[in-house]
Amino acid sequence: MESVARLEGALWKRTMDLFHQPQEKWKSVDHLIYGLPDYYTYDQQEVQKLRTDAIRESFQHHYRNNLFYKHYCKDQGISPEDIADEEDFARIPMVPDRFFKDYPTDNPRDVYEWLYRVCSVDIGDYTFEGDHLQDFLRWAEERLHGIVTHSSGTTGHFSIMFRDRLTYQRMFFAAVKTLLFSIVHPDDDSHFVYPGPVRTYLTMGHWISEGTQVFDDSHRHFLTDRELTMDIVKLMAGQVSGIKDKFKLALLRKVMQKGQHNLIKLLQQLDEKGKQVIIITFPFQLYDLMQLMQEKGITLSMGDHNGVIITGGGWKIYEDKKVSPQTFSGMVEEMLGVPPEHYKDIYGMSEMNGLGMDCEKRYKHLHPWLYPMVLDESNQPLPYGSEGRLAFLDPASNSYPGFIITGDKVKLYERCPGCDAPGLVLDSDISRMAGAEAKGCGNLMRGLIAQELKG
Amino acid sequence: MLQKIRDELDKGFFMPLPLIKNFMGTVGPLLYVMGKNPGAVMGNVPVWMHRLKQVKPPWAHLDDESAYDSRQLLTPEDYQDLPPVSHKKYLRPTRLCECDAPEIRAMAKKLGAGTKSDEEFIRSVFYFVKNEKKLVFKPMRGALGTFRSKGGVCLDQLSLMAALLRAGGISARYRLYALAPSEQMYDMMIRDDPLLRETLEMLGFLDSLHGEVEALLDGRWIALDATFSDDLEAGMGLPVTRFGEEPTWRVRVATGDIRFEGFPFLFKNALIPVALVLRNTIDVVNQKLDETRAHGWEILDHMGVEAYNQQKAEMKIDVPSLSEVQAFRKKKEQHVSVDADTA
Repeated sequence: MESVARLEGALWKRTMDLFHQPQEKWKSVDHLIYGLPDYYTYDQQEVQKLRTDAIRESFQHHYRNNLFYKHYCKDQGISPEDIADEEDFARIPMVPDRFFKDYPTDNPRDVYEWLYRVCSVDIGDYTFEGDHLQDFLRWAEERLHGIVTHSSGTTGHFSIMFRDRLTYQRMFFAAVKTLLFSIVHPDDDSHFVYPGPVRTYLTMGHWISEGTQVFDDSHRHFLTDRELTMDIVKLMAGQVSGIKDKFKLALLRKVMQKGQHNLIKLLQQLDEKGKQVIIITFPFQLYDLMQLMQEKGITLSMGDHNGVIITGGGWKIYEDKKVSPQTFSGMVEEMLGVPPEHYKDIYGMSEMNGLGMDCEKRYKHLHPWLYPMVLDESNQPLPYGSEGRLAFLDPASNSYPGFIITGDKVKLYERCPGCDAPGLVLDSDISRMAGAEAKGCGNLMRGLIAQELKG
Repeated sequence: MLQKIRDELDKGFFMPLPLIKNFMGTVGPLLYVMGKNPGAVMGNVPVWMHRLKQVKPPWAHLDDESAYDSRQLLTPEDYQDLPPVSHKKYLRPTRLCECDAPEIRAMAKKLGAGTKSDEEFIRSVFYFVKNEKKLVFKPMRGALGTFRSKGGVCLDQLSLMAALLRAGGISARYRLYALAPSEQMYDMMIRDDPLLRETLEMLGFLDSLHGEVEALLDGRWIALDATFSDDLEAGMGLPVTRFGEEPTWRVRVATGDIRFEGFPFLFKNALIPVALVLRNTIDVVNQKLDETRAHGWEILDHMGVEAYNQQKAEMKIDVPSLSEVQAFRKKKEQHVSVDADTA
């Protein structure tokens, strides 16, 4: 992956103002997140050493400050002294991602107390007086020592995460630096377009609303400013909770359908004015958009103005409509005029404070602080090149142990088979393990737009 | 006559509206998926023909289960001095829950009704249904039909448990809820079948198609789910659920649960079309269940339930209570302040 990072300009300054941490507070992981000039071009030995230090520090932190995790480690006979180098990483006790759904009820106090019990930091005092979880999330953002976000919860139960300031600053910074400063250099007059609702506590959606504050309001465009509440997300997942919510969903769906047409108009206008445009969207959403453009006989030349397309979230249950990454990037070039090197697909998940971004050969390059593993059915690590369940050690998480076993089935490589960039990479073909929650944010969004929901 | 009508209505003659809504909500996606997968539906034709040749309806369950008839466990003495039949709410017979049948009352007596404590009796009923009766997908036959055969669907097993409890003087009712399958359950029952897999993908989870019995013990309703026998759980690689524990083969989804005393009129008939269109799928799943149970039996025979559960417990995460975490944090703060003072 070729380095394009030029960390300068008004957008970069604003990124630094919003999300940077002072160097005197840096831990090992911060040297990777804030200190590396480029996440895809670095000295591998140096980074490996920093990552090892970061993971050891992180393990010590959670072991010492998190009672449930300490007990969990003790039950497995592991303590910080047992983790000396990378060879020991597989011994670090990992938490299944479904653990973050284990809060007892949807009552805000129960959720707060559960977060209090599972976090490695003090999350703040509970003074909330309402009884609705969505209100609690709004309140938490204002009053707790961090943000509370939720997953798409499509099996009816959300994963709920608490990220303290340190964790979310790291996450936002890494994401902004990766998506805005690693593909092309954004000019100060570039426009950000996200064809989805911005007001949400869905983890990735919330990042998009917060992280893109580096753009001023006239330079960031969303499909709607209606709130995507947990109730609507639940409704979209098939849980009918009353006429009022159904009405809200119908309204939101209507707005978003109309939004597809408005979005094409907006892109045409920006294209005519020669503006640089950065779009983040779901692959199927872009696919639908391109099909709509095809029907209307519209093509754009966004690539002429250094435009960038980033997709993420996968196709999941719409696998039957999935096209190969190469075909898709060909469509992007044909319809939107964006060359393959400026179209990227990313991999991320609610519990992870890092991303995987694909190279031109479509392998997902993971952020250097993440240490991924592929596990067999007994949760034992498999050699590189094997297919299995993804687990990862994420030292960027300060508020919860970021040592997670996921429900994703992946193939992991020690070196990219497609390019020379250093670091561990995932094959682009990522699917869910059998039985793991089948749908994600991406599918919710498709449901929202395509009216393929029941009810 | 009027009293009888009133009783029938009180026992839940009509299907509750949320149940109808959930049922219809499941049928829609299933029909859609069937339309998308005509090949999978046509796969039923040979199994339908096989049944018709045997002069059975195409949805019929064919296995001879007479060897599993639990009446064989009863002696003539067990039928003497049977516990009385009550007509109080949650103790009386209801549709598919024949707690007044002599063999049900005899088994309740054999399991300790009137001699053991309430809790011990409930425990005995739980383990009897869990391990003597098996999960078999077939048209619903109620408590008696389940007692006299290998087992039945989860709802039939609930009926048998409720009937035995009621016959032994313990109030019991049904509670249906939504669930998402565990990975192991998904792998065994859903993954390989396009109809089930795609329907579940559309629904996200299953609503009101499973439930548990709630038994009244010391003024508190306790939940009992004996659907998966020990050998089935072990065969799936899951911990064996003990009395009072939540099973791990599914994840409970928080929606509006439906509680009722007796199954409504036509409920079992409503499931016949499902048994018809999924006939081939159901045969395959029943075979897999038998294979999994055989595998699980080998495991438990080799290491025993306790040792097996101990091994499984290593992956379990216990979250300390709020007060424990508060005490832990307070202690840490004190250490920090002592360290600061010393410095």
